[in-house]
Amino acid sequence: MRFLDTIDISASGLTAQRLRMDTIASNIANVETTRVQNGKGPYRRQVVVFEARTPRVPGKIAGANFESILEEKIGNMGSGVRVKEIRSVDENEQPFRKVYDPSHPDADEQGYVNYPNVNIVEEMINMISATRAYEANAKVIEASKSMAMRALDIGR
Amino acid sequence: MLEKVFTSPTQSLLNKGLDTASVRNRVIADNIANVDTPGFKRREVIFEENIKKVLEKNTINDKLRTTDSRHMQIKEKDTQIEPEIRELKDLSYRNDENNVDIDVETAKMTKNKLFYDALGQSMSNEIRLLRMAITGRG
Amino acid sequence: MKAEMLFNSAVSALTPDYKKNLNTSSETGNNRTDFISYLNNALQEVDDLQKNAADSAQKLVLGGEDYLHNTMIAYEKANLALQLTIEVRNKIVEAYQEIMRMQM
Repeated sequence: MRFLDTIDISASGLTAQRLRMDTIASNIANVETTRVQNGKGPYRRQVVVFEARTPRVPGKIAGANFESILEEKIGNMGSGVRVKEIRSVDENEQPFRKVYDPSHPDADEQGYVNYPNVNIVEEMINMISATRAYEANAKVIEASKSMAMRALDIGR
Repeated sequence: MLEKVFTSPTQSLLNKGLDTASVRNRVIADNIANVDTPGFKRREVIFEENIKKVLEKNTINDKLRTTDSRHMQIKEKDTQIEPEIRELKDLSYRNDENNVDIDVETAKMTKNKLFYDALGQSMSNEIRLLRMAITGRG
Repeated sequence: MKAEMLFNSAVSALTPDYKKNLNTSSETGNNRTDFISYLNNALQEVDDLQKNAADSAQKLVLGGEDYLHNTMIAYEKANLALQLTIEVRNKIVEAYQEIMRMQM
């Protein structure tokens, strides 16, 4: 049902951006969290990893082979986006923010407290980007819907 | 004989244009959904250039008689060209190698929707003309 | 099939009895036969167009239709083809009745 597939694609974009917003919100909420419930050290920044979805060939189980995808009438047409994973950014990639405060209950031996490797400004920028992308996807659904309605009017 | 009445080259061309707009809608939706996907390269749909090339080639070769020098003769077989999807590996300004510009894509989406509307309306008009000719009523 | 019904009613207007009553030369006789085969072909095309429309609608329901506008266009074409056939049939019947009146 390719004429309605377009809406699925935009929906996948909406989902992906929303998940991204969720992680951003979590990061911002936890910007000062020095201790996590079940683990050592402070809250680690979370990021989403996006991945372009390959076309699903109808009738085949997940893991359709390359040839069957090539057989599609108009080749190399995408099927939206999916969130591959939500992963934590390790301190090797992005170091923790260290603040010297020996009186803090979470201070280490040298008196430094590890604060999460969350940069508020970066998160804000990502939030704006995610919002814009979300709105753009919503606009695409509107346009697709209106095109389909137009098609129904042909000849009437 | 009926075929010529109900499948004029104009109608075929309009139909192909509608097909193109549908494919383009999907490709743009995919581009916008993947605006933040690392490594994703934007795609676009080519059709108008291809078919113009074919039409111009015919006019030069066949020297068809036209009432106006601006007319391009469309033959039925010319409209058999399919819309083509092309991936554009142009320069990316971003670290993640993604070259989708969300504003450009949104603008293209608006243009495409209007294109589809225009073609849909033209198709409706073609059909209405036929109906008028056949039944004498709108 | 609607097309078949129309074909029958069109052909009945050109029944063998009718042909017998006129002083026809062999030439006009041939023309009439051509006309019937011509009509036959046209009606076959009408049938095909209707089948296209039905196929497209079926694909729509089962999820195989790529372009919604094609379904709408198929229906419109089938509709127009049918109307054209109806109008032609009407004209044939009219012509037949006209000629029958002349006989009196």
